[in-house]
Amino acid sequence: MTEQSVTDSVQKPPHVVVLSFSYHPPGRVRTYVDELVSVGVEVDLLLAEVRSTEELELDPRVKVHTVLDIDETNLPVRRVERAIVFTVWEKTLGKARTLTMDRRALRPVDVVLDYAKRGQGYVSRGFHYRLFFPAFKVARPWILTRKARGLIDGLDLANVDRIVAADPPSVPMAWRLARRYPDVRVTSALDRKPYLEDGAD
Amino acid sequence: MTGNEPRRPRLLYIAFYFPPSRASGVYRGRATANHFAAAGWDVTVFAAPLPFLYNVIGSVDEKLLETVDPRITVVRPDMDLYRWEHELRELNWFRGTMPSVAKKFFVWREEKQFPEQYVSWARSSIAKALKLHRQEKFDVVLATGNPFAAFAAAWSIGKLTGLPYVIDYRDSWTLDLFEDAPAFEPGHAAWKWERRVIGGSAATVFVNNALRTWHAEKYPKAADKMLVVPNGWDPDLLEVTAAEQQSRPEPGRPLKFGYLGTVSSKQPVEEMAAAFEIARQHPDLADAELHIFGHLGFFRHSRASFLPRLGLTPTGEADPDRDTGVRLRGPVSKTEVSAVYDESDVLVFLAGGGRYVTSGKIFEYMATGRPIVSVHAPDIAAREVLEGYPLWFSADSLDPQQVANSIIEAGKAARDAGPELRAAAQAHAAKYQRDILLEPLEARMRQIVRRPLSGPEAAS
Repeated sequence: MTEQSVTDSVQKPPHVVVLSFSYHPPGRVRTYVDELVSVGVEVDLLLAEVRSTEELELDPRVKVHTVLDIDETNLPVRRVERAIVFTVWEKTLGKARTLTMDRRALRPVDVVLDYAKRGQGYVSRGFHYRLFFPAFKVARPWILTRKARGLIDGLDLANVDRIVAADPPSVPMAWRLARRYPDVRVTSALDRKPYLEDGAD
Repeated sequence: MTGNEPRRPRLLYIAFYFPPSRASGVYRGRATANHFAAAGWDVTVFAAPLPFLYNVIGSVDEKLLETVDPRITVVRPDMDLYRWEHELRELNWFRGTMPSVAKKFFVWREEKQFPEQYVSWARSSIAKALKLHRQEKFDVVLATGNPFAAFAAAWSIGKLTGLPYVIDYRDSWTLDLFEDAPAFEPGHAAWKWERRVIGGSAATVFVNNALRTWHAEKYPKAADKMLVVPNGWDPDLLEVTAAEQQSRPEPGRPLKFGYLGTVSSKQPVEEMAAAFEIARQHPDLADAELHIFGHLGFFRHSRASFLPRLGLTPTGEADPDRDTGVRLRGPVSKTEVSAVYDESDVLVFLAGGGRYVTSGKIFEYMATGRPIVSVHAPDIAAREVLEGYPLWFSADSLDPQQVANSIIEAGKAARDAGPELRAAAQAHAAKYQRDILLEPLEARMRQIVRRPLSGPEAAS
């Protein structure tokens, strides 16, 4: 190693990339990144969406990135599901009722449509919460992983000290990164020891 | 060995926390195994796997391993470290791609067997026990909890082999000691398991009478099989200064009070600090200090919350505006414990919880023969061992003024108590040496194995 490269390695602060894909980063993650930057660690924090940064009070030295620059509810899959499960039926039945309401001859049809509308609400909500959302929860980390490709490429992860998957939704992406960068330590432990103890001394 | 020679009783001791672990419960396990080995038993201990102790817990003491009787065979059944695996490169495809689903599946699979995260170790223990039992018969199984999966393992081994088993409640399972209330909601699987393991055990052991009574009321059919083996202290691990060699503080020298152990949020910390502040106003305790040897809380971040409660500044120094006399000395290693006791004129017994809590440290405190001042709920179970200790000072209350009076009395005793009184205190503590306390258990275990040994198998 040359004298110049020794100097560089001494001066270069440790660099940690923290992934947190929960809807809002948990308190322990916020404390973790704050503690790291307070002892001079360079920290990049990757969050899921713009809304994840709301009411997020962090040390300004933490570099925050968001995978999605839109609200997650505006993802195509969410919009399509919303349209098919709610909007189409609501609009169809609503339009039909505008034709039957206040018409004595069509009153029986109106009653049926009223029941159908209520039933549709019940079924749609059931589908959304019991079927779609659990499936989306499983698929969400993978959607975020795909969307984060460009962002990841810009972070030069091959040269970071460690990548931390700070919550379960960020594990699939971190797992892929572990395979892609075999020399980088990829962990789910919010381990402060290598930085705080050494850094504090 | 000829066929006519009586066979040594063979004990399978299931004790997850065993040296080199330095968990608080390890000392009872170590002493029990050593005691049975010394009493002529052939002891096999099933303990936690070393990767768990070194990589997950990280709290080990190699020297403690050297204090284990070499005649004891230590076996370490495997354990699934799924829950503690943090290195993502080590995860398989299922866990790496669907962590939430994988975790739910794992937890579901474990909980349907036993409601505790150590169940995989219990499972391996059963398999290993059956294998060893086939090679050479065990006579009895003794299991200590926590973890309580050890009880389930003992029960299963008993079911599969017909061996009698004894369970040792080193800690409480279904009773929350700090809330004096059930630890699980009605219908939780822990109740079914507890009923099952206590019902099938040849004896059930508790650390104090209060716990024995609570369980006897809950499981009356098994009440006559319940016994108490208090924790006690280990003379081979604690160097005690003899009473006649203990020096009293010189007149005029400020007294040193000492507390040894982790300070937890369940303890009456504010009351202690307030009482000590009041007591320091008494001329006998002028400039007295209360030294805390141990961590503040169990986590790094919990330290900060204790400092104002102890009247200390955010850096842990004495507050010049309100000096309570409390000083932080930090944790000490096991080898320094005797020195800590020697430099303390009075020991402060700060304990959380109520009538079911004994606290292990009280036995070591008593062994020193020094004045002890109590700061805890008046109905604490530790009373039953402190009663009769001649240098015990208790306010029977957590009112700071009353606790302060006890502190002052203890301070006076530190100056006045001569070698005779200190020797009487040590004589009281001598009754609580671990080996003495374990004798009734060993005798009971011999009774339990007598029947199988006197049968055709022993005769052959």
